[in-house]
Amino acid sequence: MIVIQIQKKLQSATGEMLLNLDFEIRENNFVTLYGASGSGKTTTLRMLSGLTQADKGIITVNNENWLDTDKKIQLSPQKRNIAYVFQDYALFPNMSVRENLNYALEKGQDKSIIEELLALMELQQLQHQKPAQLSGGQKQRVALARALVRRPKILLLDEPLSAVDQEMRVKLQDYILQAHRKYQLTTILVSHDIAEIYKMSDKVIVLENGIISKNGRPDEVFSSRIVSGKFQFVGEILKIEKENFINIVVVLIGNNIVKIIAMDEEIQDLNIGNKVLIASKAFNPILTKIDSVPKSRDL
Amino acid sequence: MNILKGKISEIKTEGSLSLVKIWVQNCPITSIVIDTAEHSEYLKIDNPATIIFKETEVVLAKDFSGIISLQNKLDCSVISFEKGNLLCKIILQFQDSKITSVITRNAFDQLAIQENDSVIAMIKTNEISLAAHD
Repeated sequence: MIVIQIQKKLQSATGEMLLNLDFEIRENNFVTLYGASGSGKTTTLRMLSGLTQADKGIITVNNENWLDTDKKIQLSPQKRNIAYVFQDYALFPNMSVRENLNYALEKGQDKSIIEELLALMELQQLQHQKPAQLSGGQKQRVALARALVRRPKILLLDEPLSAVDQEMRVKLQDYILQAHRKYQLTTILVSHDIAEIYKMSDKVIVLENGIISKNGRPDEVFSSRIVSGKFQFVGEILKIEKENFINIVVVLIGNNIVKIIAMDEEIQDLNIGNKVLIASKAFNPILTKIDSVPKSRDL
Repeated sequence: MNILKGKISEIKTEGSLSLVKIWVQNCPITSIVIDTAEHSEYLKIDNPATIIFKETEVVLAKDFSGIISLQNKLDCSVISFEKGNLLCKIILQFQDSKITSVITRNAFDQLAIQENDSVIAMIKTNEISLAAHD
């Protein structure tokens, strides 16, 4: 369990802002911080990692005091067992993939973790390449693997996927989830992508002007109104095809593309790239076991 | 989507399913949902509720007689329509609200729908979604 009760004055675009947080994160949970730029998300991660000092408050991790300003306790970043991955990969350009990982090893640490991470992130084929030869998604996999070399308990991800395209993003999400489960990490992600938050997170914490405005499961936090539909997904509009008064809206839900019929009034405020909630009655879908699929048919 | 506002008058629950009756002025509408009053705050007698159903789920009948399993029958009049080769869109006046039905062109021709016609719009109980008022 991580307990965070901290305050810090920040200079924001609109003047001084007080970041005032009080929340708990359970072990092995995947939690996302969501909010507008300048709402305090990155500062929260930096205070947890010890890179930024809080003005006042406490941080305890599994009953260990990392910060207690009243008792003048402040654990150094090196002593907090945390991995931090940014949007900027920050790899050493003169080192190969394997050397970048080796560099993160602690003195005397068992080197078997390197093989394990190269395998988990599917980097074996790329292990002797230099960062300049890698794509953005590959670099981010190396950055993630390197962050995990010291077997951290907590993984902080500050918009690590915002610089890669949608397809790579979906794959990297899977790599992150695999690592999260395999190493039983407690992971805190900063993300603006609602579909990503639904896919990855157990909980989402919404920050507005330095305070927590909502805290709960993604479906509780993001369903603007509670529709009785039990068949609900969040997706992204890829295309809108108009046929007379009917529109066929093509939506990406996770890795799957679905088509939805909508009237003109429903798509008035919708554009390509918009996030949408898709809800249907649970009575409509037809279930078919995959190994005995009948001839596919458009419904 | 079609949206009507009403008030919950009856909730019958069995297991995790509830059959909910909502009055829209003097017309009862029933919906079946996988929710119970215990777990959903909006499901309370006398609570306002928003009824949502898709245009393509609205069945139309004219001069209807006989018994039918469809529970939701709304007396409407035709305001206007748009004809396509495959489908037609019909705008209907129901009480103070407008609702839309999309049916096939064949069905539209068989019903010989004209402006100001009286029609019954029918929606299956399991096609109606409920939402708490905004």
